[in-house]
Amino acid sequence: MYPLLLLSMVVVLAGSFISLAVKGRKATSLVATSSLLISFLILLSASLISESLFQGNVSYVEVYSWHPFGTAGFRLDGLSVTFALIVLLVSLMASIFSSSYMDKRFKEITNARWSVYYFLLLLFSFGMLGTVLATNIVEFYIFFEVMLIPSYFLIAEFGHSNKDKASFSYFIWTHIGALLMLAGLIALAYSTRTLDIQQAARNAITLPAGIEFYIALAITLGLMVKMAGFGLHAWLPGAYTEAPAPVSALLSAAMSGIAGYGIIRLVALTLPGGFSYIAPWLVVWGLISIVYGAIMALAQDDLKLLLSYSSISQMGYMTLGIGSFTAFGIAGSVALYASNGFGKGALFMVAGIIASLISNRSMSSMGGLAKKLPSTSTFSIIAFLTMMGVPPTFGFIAEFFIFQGAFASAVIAGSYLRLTVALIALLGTILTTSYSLFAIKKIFFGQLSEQNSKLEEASLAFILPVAILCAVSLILGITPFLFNTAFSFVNSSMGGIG
Amino acid sequence: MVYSLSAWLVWAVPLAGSLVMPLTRKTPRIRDVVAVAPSFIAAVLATTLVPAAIQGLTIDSRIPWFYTIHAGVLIDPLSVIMGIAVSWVSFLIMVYSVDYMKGDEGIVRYWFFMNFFIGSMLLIVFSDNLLQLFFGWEGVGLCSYALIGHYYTDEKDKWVGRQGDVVLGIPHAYSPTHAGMKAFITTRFADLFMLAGIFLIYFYSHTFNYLQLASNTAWAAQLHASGLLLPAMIFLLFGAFGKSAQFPFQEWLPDAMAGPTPVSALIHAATMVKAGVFFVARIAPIFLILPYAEKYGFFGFLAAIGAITAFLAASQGLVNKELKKVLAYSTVSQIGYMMLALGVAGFIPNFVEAYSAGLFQLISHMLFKAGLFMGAGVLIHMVNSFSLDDMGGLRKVARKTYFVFTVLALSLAGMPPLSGFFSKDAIFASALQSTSGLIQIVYLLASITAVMTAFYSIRMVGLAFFGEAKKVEHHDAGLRQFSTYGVLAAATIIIGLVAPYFEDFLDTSLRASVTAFGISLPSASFSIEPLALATSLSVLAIGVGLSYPFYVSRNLSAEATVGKGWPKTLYSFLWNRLYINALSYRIFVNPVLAASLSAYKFIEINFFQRINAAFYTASIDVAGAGDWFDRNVVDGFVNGVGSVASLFSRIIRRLQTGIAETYLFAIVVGLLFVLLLLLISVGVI
Repeated sequence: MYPLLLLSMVVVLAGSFISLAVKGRKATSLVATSSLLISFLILLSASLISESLFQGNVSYVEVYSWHPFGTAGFRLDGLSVTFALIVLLVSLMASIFSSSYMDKRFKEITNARWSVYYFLLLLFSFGMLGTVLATNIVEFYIFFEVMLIPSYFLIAEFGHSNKDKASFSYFIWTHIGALLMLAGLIALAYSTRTLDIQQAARNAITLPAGIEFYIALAITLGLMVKMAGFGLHAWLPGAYTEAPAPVSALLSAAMSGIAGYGIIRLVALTLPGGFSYIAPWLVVWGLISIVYGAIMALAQDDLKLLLSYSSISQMGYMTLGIGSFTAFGIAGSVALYASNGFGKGALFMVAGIIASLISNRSMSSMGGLAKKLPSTSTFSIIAFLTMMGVPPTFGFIAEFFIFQGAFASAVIAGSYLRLTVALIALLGTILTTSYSLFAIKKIFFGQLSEQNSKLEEASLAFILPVAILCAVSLILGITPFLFNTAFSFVNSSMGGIG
Repeated sequence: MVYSLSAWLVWAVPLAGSLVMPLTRKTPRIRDVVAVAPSFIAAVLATTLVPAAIQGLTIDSRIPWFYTIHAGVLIDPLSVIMGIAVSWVSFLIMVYSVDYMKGDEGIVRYWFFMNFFIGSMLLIVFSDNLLQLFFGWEGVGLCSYALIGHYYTDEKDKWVGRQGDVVLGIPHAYSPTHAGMKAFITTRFADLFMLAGIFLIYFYSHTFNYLQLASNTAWAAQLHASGLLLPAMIFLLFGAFGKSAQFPFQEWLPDAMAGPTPVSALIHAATMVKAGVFFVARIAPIFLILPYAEKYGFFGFLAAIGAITAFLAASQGLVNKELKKVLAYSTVSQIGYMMLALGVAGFIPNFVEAYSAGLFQLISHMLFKAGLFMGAGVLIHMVNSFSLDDMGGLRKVARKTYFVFTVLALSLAGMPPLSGFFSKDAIFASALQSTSGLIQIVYLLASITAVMTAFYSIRMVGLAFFGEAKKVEHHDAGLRQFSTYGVLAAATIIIGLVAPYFEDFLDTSLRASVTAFGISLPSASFSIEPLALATSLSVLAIGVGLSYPFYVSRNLSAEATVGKGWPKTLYSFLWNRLYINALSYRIFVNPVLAASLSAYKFIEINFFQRINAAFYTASIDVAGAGDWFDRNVVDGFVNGVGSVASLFSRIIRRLQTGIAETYLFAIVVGLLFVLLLLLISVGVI
């Protein structure tokens, strides 16, 4: 085997440092975009080797000796492949989008440098990619923190008016979460006497139930901060709203859900015994996040705030799916990570397009924009449909299997109470439909206001990334092979009990 | 094999056609041809399946889709009959649209969604499993949303309902985009129940395929054992009730009139609302074969909701002033009959008798309702108003349309020998086979509804065509446009004239369809049911007799009759849409919006964001010295030197502020943990 995974990591890292060395918009964006594209293609070929991605048994592991931590390396399997591909796809789109969007943004910021921006952006992607490919517990933690630092600087340096406060609370909340997770990881390593994640899973079988439970709890709680579970979400609206649009897209569409990956990989599949006590509560927590996020989204007039709260709601779906602790639910969560990547990624960029055109994020100052922005509005509606889970978008596949899992786990447990929770959560998705349709109506329909009457459609460079994300959502919605891949992996990892 | 290919293409062609539409943006002549062609091809393809239906074949053509799920098409008499009816009526509506939508600036979007709509509906019809059906199901929902809100700029003249009408604080006039949203949210809410039903069934059956569900009913035994069989069945019905605008989900349909008139015709006659009935017809045989008492819950609930809806909606037809809304309520009411018939089927010895009566009613309604909408579109265009008050006396200026519209309305009223009479009579006759008390009540409600149907049909014709002539702005329809609904009127006459043979055909072919699901039926016994015939004729006579003097001959004044006393009270109760619409808003919409605003204010802003802010201030206090340094030294330096403030200096500055110290503290703590881990692991490994 070729060291394809290492290569894909190195290309992103190299891209980030080369961007530091070159100057100006064109050169830096070219370096960044091409290195992300190359990395994406390398990863795609690794996952397509002998068509394994479509057949659902991706397995590409590279292990290197890492003194004194045993071994470290990269693993591309049915679970990580979706996350890795989406991280790179969304990063690539954000990179393309940045070169046109940040051009306008930079005129408002003094002393902003393209090289620094792209350096941080790629480092952020590098951290995310490393996190999902990591095979070693320490490696996982390091990459998890590498993800945090550049994203913090991206908000603090390039964000909007309230960036200081927003970036600060983003850092503190998620860092505290990471420390809690770290405590859990240390305990895991100590008690299983290994730093290798797979080995830890094998050794964890002999753990006393109590210890397993507390380790699982610490890791889960720590990660739930990054996933913005209800109660731990206070950092999110500020961070997503104050960040520049492409960074918001990355934070919401790529980063947040990686915490879900962490829960699946490090808890559900590693400490299943301990997780089985937590799982039912995660379902409830997911339900609360879904409803709370959606209700908050319904109250917003600021488009970016609406999308931020909607992210809390979407991560709630992911939590619910993982909490169902069935192969359907977990694979559905993985699919939701992808569909949220397409939908929310596209929508944050749309918010950027509109803000750059009318210098305003308030939806009440919009209205009737469909007339002036036909392409933007078409793609926005497709992206909203992805969030709403309407077929043939990939969002439907994700929600369908999350809820299939939620119903299945309730029926297996023979609990009418849990069945009711699943039903309420399912009916709660009507709130997603509602805030999405209200937003579409407020932004695109109705009468065009006087000051917007001279608007012109954004250029192709703005629309292309949005269009690509929407197209992928539709194609995968009709041929959902990413779901197969995740399902067969999770199903076999769980011993086929799904 | 050839049959399967046709069945795949019949829905794929319109879907592909919709994707081609944007390419024809620049060439109007080609555009309209490209737009209409797919529905014609679909209609021809559906027609090639006729031999399969006559032979009573059941063909299930499947291909792997994803995971272990297959996609497939099911060709059996039910899908073929439905497919032919849907595609031909859709084709006529598309031809009609060419004239109706001429010059509309959103025409490409219109054609895109019309084709997508037809393709999605045919996908529902030919799908062999629940999941694939759901794709089509949501497809029609999406298209209805887009097409009802076609006039998305919400100009005042496109609103439905009378401006200024307010009931219980809820305005009763809606913009097109509001109406579209209402349709989508209502039907989707109902669909979520349907999904819940699908989940419950799939969990035990591991298949979505109808034939597999029918051939191995172990899933039902398990659902029965856990007490979830009835909920699963009822949840599925909710989905159908949402799409078909049945009680309590009916309020979206009348407001859906905000869309262009051909859209209304498509929603009411060929697609959307018929999807619900078709879905029930598809799943009812699966439930019928189950040996559990829950199935009577399913069929009883179906019959009861059908009857209640038929009754409530017909009452709205009596008072509404907008021609299209009268037709809309009439659709809700007529769909109620179909649901009722399918419900009755579960209670009578010969299932297929009521089953085919329901399908007969569906086809019959498809013909006359599509025609009525197309005729209404012409009338609305002529007087440039939705309101029946602005019509009147049109029989002189629109002779062709007057004649055809009246034939179609009489079919709706149930006048022999038109198809509407026979289909309704078949439902009455089948309901009389049951001895169940519930079905007897249903029969009574259905009869009263038929009186109201006859009444509002005549009222509609009378108000539009009789009485004093009003100002007319445009001429009657041209030949191409007229021929579309002319054909439908001819069809309702012809099917009426050959009704006994047509009923026989439906009965025989659907019998084959149903037996493929493992149902054994008693042999058919054809006999005229005198009581049903008497009911059909007398309700017609009463309805027409009550309506005629008020609206056609105009010997009596409707205004004077409802002007005072209890008729006035009743009239205003009906006029206010029985308060159902207003109450739905007051219960489901306004409280949620109000709650979201106050939850945002009190929970999010005053609690969570306060905690957040407190964190921030606290950390600044802790690092007060750094902050002081920042404000007095760094800022002074930066302000003094001015332009030197490069990114480098700003990062330095950030490191010197109190906030950054807090971060550093946090990072150091993190690194200490890593060190600890390192020490442990070195010892361990």
